[in-house]
Parts: sequence; C-alpha cells; structure tokens
Amino acid sequence: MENLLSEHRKSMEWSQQRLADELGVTRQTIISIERGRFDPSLPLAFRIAALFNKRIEELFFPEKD
Amino acid sequence: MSEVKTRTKWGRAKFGNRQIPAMRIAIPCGLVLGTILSLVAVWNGIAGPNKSLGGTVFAVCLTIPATMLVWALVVDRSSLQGAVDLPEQSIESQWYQQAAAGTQIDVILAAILGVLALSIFPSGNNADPKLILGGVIAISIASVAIRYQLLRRKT
Repeated sequence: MENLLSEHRKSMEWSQQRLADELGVTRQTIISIERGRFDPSLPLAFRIAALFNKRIEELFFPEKD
Repeated sequence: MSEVKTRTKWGRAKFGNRQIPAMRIAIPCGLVLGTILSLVAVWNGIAGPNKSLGGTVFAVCLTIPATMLVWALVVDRSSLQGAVDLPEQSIESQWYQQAAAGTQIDVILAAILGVLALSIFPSGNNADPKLILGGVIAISIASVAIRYQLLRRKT
C-alpha cells in the first residue's frame, strides 16, 4: 500500500524515531511503512491518521496495478 | 504513551498498586531456584562423584538462567527503557510470526529426514533421545533465527 506518511512526517519536522515514539511502535516499523513494505494494522492506521489530523484515505492508497 | 522517567534498565514488577525493582525479586528467587535444581542434580547422581563440587558447579551454572527466567516472568515490560508501547503492531512482531510459522514446517521436515536416517542406518536403534530432542530444539532455534534475519533483510 502506498502512503504519504513520509511527507506528513517531514512537514512536521519529525524524525522517524519521534514518530515511532508518538505511535508507540519501533522506528523500523515507520521505515517499513514509509517504504511501502509494511501495511500497518487498522488500529495503527487510525492512530497515524489521528496524529496527523487526517482521514485514513488521505494517508494510505491501494497500490496501482 | 508511558512516562519515560518511570522506566529503568531492568524494569519493575507490579504487585497491585506497588512497584518493586524486578531484579530485587529475580536475584533471590534465581538463587533459590538454582540451588534447588543443583540439589536435584546431586540427589539424582548426575553431579559427578564429588557431590560438593558438582553441586556447586550446577548451582553456579543454573543460577543466572534461573534469575533471568524469574525476571522475564515478573517484569512489567512497560517499565523497561527502550520498550515500545505496542510491540504487537510493530513490524518485528510480524517478522517473528512469519518466521515461527516457517519454523514449524522446517521442524517437521527435519523430523521426517531424521526418522528416515534412523531407519536406514544400523546405529539408528541406539540413538540417544536426549540428543534427538536437543537436535529438535537446535533446529527450531536456528530456523526461526535465520528466517527472521531473511525477512528483516528483505524488508
């Protein structure tokens, strides 16, 4: 799944570690999500969306075939 | 998110509303457990002809793992420095689950090959069960470790 996590994180001038700490997950998790190699669980996706004050659909997109 | 200032290197154990440093429980319990296990070894005659020396060696060797076992059982992980709040939602958890699932297949395959080998070779009837079980454990540990690293590198 594609996402705009990296863009939103950088717009807040947060490091990956800072974002990981805010979400309660590991930095590796953030790295993998931003690279599109790990799809977050639904609860985690909702937490991410709430953190950036966005809807999930504004952050995550299905991969184009 | 838990307050960072309440987290320590070895963490705390929670008993109701009280919190006690986990090592304060683990070390004495580990000493007792190590001593009990060494006494069992001496009583069963596996500590060697010199019971005092053998018992001491067993106690020394078993106390540290016994201490860490008690620590792992009593520690509240939210009080540990560096522990994330939601490990089950981190990618490492997915790696471990995938690695463990693959390890199940590896162990079954190894067991099949082992049974085949023991059936074919003449010395198979004298195989030591302790070695076989130890081999199963070793294969399990190696399999999950290798699979975990491969998943980590792939991601």
